[in-house]
Amino acid sequence: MKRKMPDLFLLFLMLILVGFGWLNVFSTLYNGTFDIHSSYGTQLIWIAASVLIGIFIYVIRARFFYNMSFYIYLIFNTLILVVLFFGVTRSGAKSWLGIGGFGIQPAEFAKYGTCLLLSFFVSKVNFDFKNIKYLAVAFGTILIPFVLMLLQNDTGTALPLLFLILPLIREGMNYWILIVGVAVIVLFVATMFIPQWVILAILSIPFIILIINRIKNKKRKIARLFFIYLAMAIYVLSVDVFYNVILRPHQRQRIDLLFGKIEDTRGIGYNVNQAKVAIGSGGWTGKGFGEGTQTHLNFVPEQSTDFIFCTIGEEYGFVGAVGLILIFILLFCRIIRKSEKSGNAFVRCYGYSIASIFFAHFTINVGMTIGLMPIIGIPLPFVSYGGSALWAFALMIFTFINIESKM
Amino acid sequence: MAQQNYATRQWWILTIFVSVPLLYCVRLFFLQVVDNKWNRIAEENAIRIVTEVPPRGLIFDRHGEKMVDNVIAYDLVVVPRNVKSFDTIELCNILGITPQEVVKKLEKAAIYNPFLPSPFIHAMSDTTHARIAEKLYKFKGFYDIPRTTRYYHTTAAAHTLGYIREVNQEDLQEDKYYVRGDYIGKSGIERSYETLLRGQKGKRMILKDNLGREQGSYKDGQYDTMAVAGHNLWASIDKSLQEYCEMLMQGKRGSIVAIEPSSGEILALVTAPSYAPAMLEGQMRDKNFLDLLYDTINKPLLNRALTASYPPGSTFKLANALVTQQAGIVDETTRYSCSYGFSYGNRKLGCHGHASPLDITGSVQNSCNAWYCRAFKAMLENRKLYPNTATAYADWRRRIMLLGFGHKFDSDLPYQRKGLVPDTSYYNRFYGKNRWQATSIISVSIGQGEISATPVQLANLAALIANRGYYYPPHLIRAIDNIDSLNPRFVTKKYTGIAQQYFQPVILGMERAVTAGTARRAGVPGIRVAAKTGTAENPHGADHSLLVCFAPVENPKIAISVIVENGGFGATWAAPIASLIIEKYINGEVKRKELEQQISSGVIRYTK
Repeated sequence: MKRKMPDLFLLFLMLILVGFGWLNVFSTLYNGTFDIHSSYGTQLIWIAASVLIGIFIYVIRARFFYNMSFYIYLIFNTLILVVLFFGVTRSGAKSWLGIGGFGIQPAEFAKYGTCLLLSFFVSKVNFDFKNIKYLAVAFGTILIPFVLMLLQNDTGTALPLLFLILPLIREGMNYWILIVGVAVIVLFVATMFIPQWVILAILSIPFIILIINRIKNKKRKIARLFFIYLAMAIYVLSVDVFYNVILRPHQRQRIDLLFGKIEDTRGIGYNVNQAKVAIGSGGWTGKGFGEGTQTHLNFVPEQSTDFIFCTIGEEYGFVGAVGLILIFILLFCRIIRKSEKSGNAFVRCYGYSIASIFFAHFTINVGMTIGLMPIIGIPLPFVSYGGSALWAFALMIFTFINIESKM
Repeated sequence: MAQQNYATRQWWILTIFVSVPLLYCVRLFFLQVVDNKWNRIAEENAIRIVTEVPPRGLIFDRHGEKMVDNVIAYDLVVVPRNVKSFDTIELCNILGITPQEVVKKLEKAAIYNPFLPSPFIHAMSDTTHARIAEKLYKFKGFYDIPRTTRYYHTTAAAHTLGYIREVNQEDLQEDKYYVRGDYIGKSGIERSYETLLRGQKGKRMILKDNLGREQGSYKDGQYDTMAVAGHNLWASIDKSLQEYCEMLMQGKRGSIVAIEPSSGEILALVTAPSYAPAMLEGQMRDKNFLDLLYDTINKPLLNRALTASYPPGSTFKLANALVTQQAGIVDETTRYSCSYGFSYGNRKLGCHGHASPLDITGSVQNSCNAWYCRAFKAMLENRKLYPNTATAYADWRRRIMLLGFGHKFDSDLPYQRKGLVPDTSYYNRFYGKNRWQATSIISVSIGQGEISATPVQLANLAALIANRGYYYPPHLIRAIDNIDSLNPRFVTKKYTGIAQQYFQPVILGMERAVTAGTARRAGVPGIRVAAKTGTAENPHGADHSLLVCFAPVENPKIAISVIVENGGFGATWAAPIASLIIEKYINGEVKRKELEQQISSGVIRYTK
């Protein structure tokens, strides 16, 4: 077993995020006297606890995570099932497990388990992406918690799991699935603005060119191109069905709002508008610590959890917000670099997995506050107030530091 | 096991991980740096500016008795955006207005600003407020807000005190201090001292949360300003004298101006007919104002004391007696004869029967027309002093204007008229250059013809004679709270250019007019009064009855001008009125109840 120095820079980046996050929770709630029972006090306890967890995780043998990945995965997914039956409903989603006065969200931990198990499977010597059986196992690993979270009525928490396609692609999976995914989203957005027949007409142009080209070059596989076009056409024509039947009314409203199809600053659009007001009023350098009026006076909802980026944007301005984003970029890049340097496929796949999860949370959360994403309530890693998410993200990072240095 | 050739895919994934955050940075740049609107919205969101209107300054009389006070009244305001459908008929019944008015007021308010309160009903009566207050919960968007309104401790001095009313569009454009619903002084002292009386509005910036609840002050009140109460004013008016004068003028048209000669402070400024100041305050203001405005017979809104020009008649002889002496035309020994008038060419300006010839004192005592015609003619035709008639007239006019005629006083009087002392070009236009001479304009010498003066100018004439040579611009305010000194223009002597010795014969004549001349009815037992009557011919019917006087002669305390329109001889109405005023002011009370009764109940019938 080789041993390297643990990645202190990664630890440092994490601590900056945690510290900055706490400062903003503190800023929104501090009223002159330090109160350990307030949110910032609780958060401080959670941060301390997560450091303890980190130390505990670091001293464990690295093989433990490889060997136990299935059990970790099993335990947390079972907990989601338990929540489904015995959980507490908070803001529409039944995702909390109450133990006394204390609640945890197993879903965040399940993501950790999923990252581990997925890496376990993919790093097996005989794993083959061309083999449908192995592919099914990999997708099944992702989809089980995904479906469980959907059943919890917690679409937002489930969404980042889809980003685990990225490590699979890195490990050799056919990237067509990503192109299909992007195409699905692009076409969906397109149907919001352009009549369906126009989209079909525009789509047919490259296909006709390609088909003519192939006939000229006497290549085969024209049928495949035709089927792809057919699939897209069916999708485009059925977006309405998907939109109206599968999406729930509040989800439809959020999407309409994102694309400006409904103008609303009071009802459904209130949150997003207030978030933009808070961030937009920050200017270059912000209003200063504790001076943000929009976040302090409750105009921005959930300003210490899902909308904490608003507090940062308002109080530290463009400089502060971009600074935070740069730290996230550094975090992503550091994990990817360390993963690539590690010769171990398990470590690499795991690194890509957690980076993807962080990236998913970052993209959705920040995108929501600046009006580029529909409202999906998930935390900003390490920054948002909340124990479960912080612990889950800490588990991910410390596990990575452990296996990266020891495996 | 992943093959080595997939390693290049890390760059694609890294590109995704870096480009999305960078895209967000661009978005943030536009949101935070480029677009300025969010800042404004944030302030509108979180900061409520509360204006604190300070209490308006009070007005006291010269003895510290309250004349104008503040009381709380309630306005009904409406925020159109918050209005929900309501029982219009019920609202109309409570407020006593028609549904059409409600619709009109609501539309007007919505046009102004649907989010801000607009006035709906002003200064509701106590009963109306009580009735609406308990039903306000039914009328969403309507609010009762307290404000101070004026309360008058007198029914007199309406024109002097003036009134306040809500600002109109013009006021708003003229002075950015005002916002809709503010009040502004529109006449009298309320108008001329508006900036002092209104004080300084305060502004508080209050933080409000998402539900509009107050959350303390913005930046610890760093940008807040305190409201500063308006200055209290101490008017020169003697309240009881003012009331007494107005009582005497019942049933008559005209004016009384009483001045304290030693200070120029106006003790009473009476215009008749008048109205009670309370009429132009409160809910009935608009109706009352129109009633007063459309009373074209009595013109109660006309401030005669300051803005009506009358031919001064014989009272003007006092000015001429002073000016001709100072110009060196006549002296104490000069005597002019009079044979029932002054003949010039084939015309004659008549006079009444009296001893002849007369010196200055006698001419004042007997109000001899011929004396003044001759003196005026002697001045204009004096070729030792003046090269021609026009130069002589210009010099005469200059001296007359030094006595306060023909121009406005540099004073706090809210309105003034200049009166008229024609200049040479006036006569040049009328007669042609060098085509007029003393006899052409001879009636000027006895205060008729083109000459006109306001009552306050006549009272000032009496005051400057009482002072024997100078006057202070007649003014209405003698002290202002929290301001150390009055405007210096009120305490600067205006010299008339008449040497003190020339006053002696004139004053003696005025005193004799009271004891044994035309102004006998102006006398007061035990007080030395100096007076000069005037009977002004005018195109509006019977002669105006005029009198200027001051008393006591040895230590003048009060100088008065009285004009009773179409009252006949000066002695008929003006003299006894002045007599009673002097008695009231000097002695504190009037013993001659019979005279008082006779004068105050006297009614002059006006046909137009």
